[in-house]
Amino acid sequence: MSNYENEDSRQKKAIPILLIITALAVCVAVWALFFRDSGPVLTPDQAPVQEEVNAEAIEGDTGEKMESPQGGGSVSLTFSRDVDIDLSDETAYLIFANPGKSNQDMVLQIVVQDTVIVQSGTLKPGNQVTELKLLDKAAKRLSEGVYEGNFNVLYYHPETGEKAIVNTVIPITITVNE
Amino acid sequence: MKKLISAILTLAMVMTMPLTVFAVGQGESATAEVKGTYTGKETKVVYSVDISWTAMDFTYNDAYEGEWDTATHTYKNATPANWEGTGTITITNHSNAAIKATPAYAAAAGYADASMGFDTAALNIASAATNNAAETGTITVTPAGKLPAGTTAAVIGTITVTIE
Repeated sequence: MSNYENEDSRQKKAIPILLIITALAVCVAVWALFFRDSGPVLTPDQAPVQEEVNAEAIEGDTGEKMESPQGGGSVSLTFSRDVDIDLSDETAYLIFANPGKSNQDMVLQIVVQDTVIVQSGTLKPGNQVTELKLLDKAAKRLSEGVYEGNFNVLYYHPETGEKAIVNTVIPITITVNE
Repeated sequence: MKKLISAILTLAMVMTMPLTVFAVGQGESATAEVKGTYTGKETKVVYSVDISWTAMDFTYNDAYEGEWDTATHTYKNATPANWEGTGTITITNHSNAAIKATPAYAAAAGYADASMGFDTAALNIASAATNNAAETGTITVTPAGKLPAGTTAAVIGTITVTIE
């Protein structure tokens, strides 16, 4: 067999291998882009720059502040323990307010079985939310039914954005509808 | 005359029309259904809770062995390790339901040797509807353990208050 024929035979063998490698690379890219689990949601150490888009001003709130101990903080929370989630629009419906008398900004998380499914933007004093969007892929982890979960309420200094040493957990009941 | 006869015949026919009657025998009693309907609104619980906390700045003074006294062969002016400062968390319940506030401490990475003690495992605070006034409870926070050398104004952990 001549050198030319050897070279030609080697090239013919290489083509399917290259095709397999290319196909594998495409599969990995598709998985990384669309199917990879992005891991747990981390709690921000600084308040998010973006304010919560669903926040609404609390009607009739005077904004009169509570007394806040020197170097400490004070917050007020208004909430209901019942949360409804509609999987069709990937939205949680709730009652949660940071009344104007609070001296801290808030970030609200909804946690089910140690998984954060909702994380709000910054909720300034004097604002409330009645709906929050589920985090990406959270809807895929839920099915119709009733879950026990928690509100995780994180407090941030309104000027520095620094996270407070104290935070609050509130047990809630979550009803998921399709 | 015709009118009179017609009236008498009509009266006679009415008298002979069959009527359903239920006999009530001696010792028996008549019964009738009594119906009732309940309407009412369920009072919803609206939680409104205030939480305030003092500065949680604590200083750890490490134990000092003292100065060596060459005459007595002992250390003088030794001091044991101690902490300076305590913290307070005040919880006020404006809700129409009682709440239970449970404190917990989680040390940050690198500060596991320091801990926080609370003067109560859980604080039960009555509904504001009980006395038509907000009810308040206080938790005192006291540090324990020790801090690593070189720690300066570091965030050594977080306190979580669970509101049940």
